[in-house]
Amino acid sequence: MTTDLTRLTASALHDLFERGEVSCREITSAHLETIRAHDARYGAYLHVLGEGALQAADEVDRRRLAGEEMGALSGVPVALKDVIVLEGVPATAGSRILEGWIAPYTATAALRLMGGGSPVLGKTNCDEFAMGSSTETSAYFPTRNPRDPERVPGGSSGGSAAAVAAFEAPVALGSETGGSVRQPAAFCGVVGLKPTYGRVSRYGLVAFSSSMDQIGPLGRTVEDTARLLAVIAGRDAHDMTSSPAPVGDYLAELDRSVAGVRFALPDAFLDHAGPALREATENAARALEAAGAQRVEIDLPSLEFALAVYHIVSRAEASSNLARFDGVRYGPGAPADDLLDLYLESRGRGFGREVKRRIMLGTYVLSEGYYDAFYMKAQRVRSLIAEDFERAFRTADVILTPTTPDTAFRLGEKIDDPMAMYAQDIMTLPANLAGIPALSVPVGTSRGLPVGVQVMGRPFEEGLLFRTGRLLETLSGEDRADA
Amino acid sequence: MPEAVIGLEIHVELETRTKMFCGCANVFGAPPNTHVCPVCMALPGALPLPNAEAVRGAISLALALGAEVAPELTFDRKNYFYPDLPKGYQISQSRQPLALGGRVKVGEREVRIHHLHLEEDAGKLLHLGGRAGVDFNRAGVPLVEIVSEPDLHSAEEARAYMEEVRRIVQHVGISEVRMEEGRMRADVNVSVRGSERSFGARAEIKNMNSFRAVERAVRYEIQRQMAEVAAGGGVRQETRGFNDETGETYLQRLKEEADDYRYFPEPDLPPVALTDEVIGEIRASLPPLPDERRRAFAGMGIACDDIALLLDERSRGDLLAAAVEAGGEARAMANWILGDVIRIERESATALASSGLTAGRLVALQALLEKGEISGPAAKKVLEMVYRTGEEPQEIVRREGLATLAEDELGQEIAAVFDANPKAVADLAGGNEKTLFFLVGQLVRRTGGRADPKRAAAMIRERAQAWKPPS
Repeated sequence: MTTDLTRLTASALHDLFERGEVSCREITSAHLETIRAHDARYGAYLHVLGEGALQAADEVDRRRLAGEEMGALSGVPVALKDVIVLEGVPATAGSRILEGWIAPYTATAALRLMGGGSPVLGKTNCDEFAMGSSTETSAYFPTRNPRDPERVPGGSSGGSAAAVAAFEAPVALGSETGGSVRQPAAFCGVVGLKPTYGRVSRYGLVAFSSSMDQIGPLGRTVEDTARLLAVIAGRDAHDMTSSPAPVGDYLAELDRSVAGVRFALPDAFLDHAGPALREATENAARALEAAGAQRVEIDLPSLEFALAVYHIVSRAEASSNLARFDGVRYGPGAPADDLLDLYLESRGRGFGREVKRRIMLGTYVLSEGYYDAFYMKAQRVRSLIAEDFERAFRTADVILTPTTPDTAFRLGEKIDDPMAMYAQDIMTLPANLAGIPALSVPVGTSRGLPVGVQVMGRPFEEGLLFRTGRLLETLSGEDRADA
Repeated sequence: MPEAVIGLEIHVELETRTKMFCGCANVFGAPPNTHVCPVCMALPGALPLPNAEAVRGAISLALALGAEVAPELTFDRKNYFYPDLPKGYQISQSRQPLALGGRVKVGEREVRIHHLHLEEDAGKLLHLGGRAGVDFNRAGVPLVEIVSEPDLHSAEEARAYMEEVRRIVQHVGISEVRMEEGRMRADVNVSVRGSERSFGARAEIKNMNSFRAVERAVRYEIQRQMAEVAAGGGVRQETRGFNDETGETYLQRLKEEADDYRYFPEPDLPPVALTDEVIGEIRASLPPLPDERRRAFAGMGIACDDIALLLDERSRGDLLAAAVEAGGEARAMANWILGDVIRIERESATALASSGLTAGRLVALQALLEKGEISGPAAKKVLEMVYRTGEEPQEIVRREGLATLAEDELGQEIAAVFDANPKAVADLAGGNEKTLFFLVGQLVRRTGGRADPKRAAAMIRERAQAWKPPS
């Protein structure tokens, strides 16, 4: 019975829990057992809560018996990417500089999950400070792709995607700055969403690039993913960038047809994709048309600058956001004779190569004399890209693209080639620059490796993305409730 | 003749209930790190939220200075490393300060304000015998920076300007500006003009927290720069400190080593519109400002120096204005405030504003005095009790038995004083006026202030003639 539970979708587990057929403790302990049995192989988790998760599960069971109303995923445990803080639990963000730090407060998204009746199973591995596309920059260990352990799970939310794909969590939260939820979702064959900027509170999310960071849900089905978003979405008084826009009824949207939906399949994206991904995306387009959706043409003239703009803006913000890691207030710090020594030792030892590279680039582009040429110009072009999308969404309701240029690559294949690694984000980062929502859905495999397509939409129209994704997920031919 | 050119950057901490970007209490003097939270300690994942009270306060000050408030509130990050700066950047305003322009009247001169902006304070370094610590209680306390144009030309003017800014801040009601708590600090730019060798290069003297320090530092710096120029040297662009013990400024660093703060828009705080409606509402609720009070008090016949003293603490002017409003005579009221009230406040732990002394009570006290119901010394005693307890003066007079003695009672007391001092009485009767003061003093002491000294003096003089020592 217990091993079977991990094979069910989150939605199915929630139903069983609601009907009183399975307790939250049973669901949680089944997942903890799977983690114990298999995670050594994948390295999805940095920290497993164990007893703490079971105690939280008991509390959820007690609340159900008391007749308390909980959330759309009550009874279903979740995994959190290690950039999301939870009171009393270590938070490393995949970095040595936070080794041993126990967070004294809880992120709003995590608080909403717990309030909604979802115990936290553990903290998942990720690229250091969410900077990477393979989870190989984690200071602790790389995570392996459950579909092929010789390959990366993608990143930076590789641990969350792997945990969900390996049945070590029914659903998980990751975080995005340029594709860090969608790309690993595509590589691991699960569903991942980057919500509209401001849809989910960033309070308690370790910052990388504040103007693009967003927590996003991962699940094995579109419905599971939609339910997870429903629990965490909405205005938070602790985050001024969170939006007061009402949260849609995502579950009701799921059952609506895509007939009449206008979608575009821009060459600007397809041109960057390998043959397998092109074919899968064109296949997805045909499926949409067959279901009554209408294909339209759009133009995104500024898109070619997206990668450059993304790099400047995200590095600039990162260089400032990571300044707080100075060895003074938390983290291991380093014994030092003077102040400069303290900074050099703490940061020199605490940060890995990729993080240092980004801090240096960001510091450079913000420097006097370079600010206008780089940062200001990048922000202006960013506005143009956002305007491109705004204009495109007058013609199209959604935009369909491959999620990644290719399927999962091998461990070590790109880690010494930063430019090749950065190119991983080419399909995904435009949505972060424009602040729009984007969903990655698995639509099948190529040589045994999962292939994902991406659906982007207008701000706060996550419901339409789920509706479209629901149709596309049937293309994979996999029953992810029991793969 | 070379001329000094001086501009000030004044920082004032706003006394809001909570800090600028979090809910921690904004208090002075608490044990280290007892008012901190994830936001002001810059824990990973924490986000700032602007404090509406601080924004409103800063807008009030901007309006009081006659500055133009920006159409929206925007923040920037000022990036630098220092242990007292938890985030590694200070949230400040650089592209679009909260307000531009404005003026401060200093005597006959009008000093132009360049701009005013809102930011957060840093923590405080503590030196713990060979080790260093940081107290983050102050980290995130709202700070307004008021930057003047270089319109000042002497040490005295610089001081007078800073004093006037303090009065305005206090009148606006956003801070008591307690100097001893470091609530107001100034950086002063000094240059010497009119000599070709000076090139107008200026020295910035950093972080002074008293009027006296500013005045002394500027005086020293003007002399130093003039001497440099006279000796054939030039003045360099540099940052200097002020040593309070020697009264001298000293080189901290040359400007070539200037920091690059890598300012950029704070992405955690999107712009907030400052509508005409909100600004109009704040403008309408501005309390009377020093300049307005100055004119009003001068119109009441109060002397210039007295007015300055009255305006140094808003509570004094408030009391005077309210007392006059309640029917008190301006000069009599001002005399009370400038004399006994200031003395009592200084000796007491309670500030005037939170004392029991109200305008109504001060007017009532003066009325009792004028009607002769109490004596001058008794009135002082009553005032102290009113200040402490907030009781009505009449009530205190009744309970403490401080009413002036009736004619026959006074006669009996005088007789008793005469009996005890026969020689003095004889001397007075013989025309030695000096003994009159002695006898009046004895009477006042004996009656505990219940005798009105003037009336008593008249009676003593009159009765001394007829007095016969008891045989």
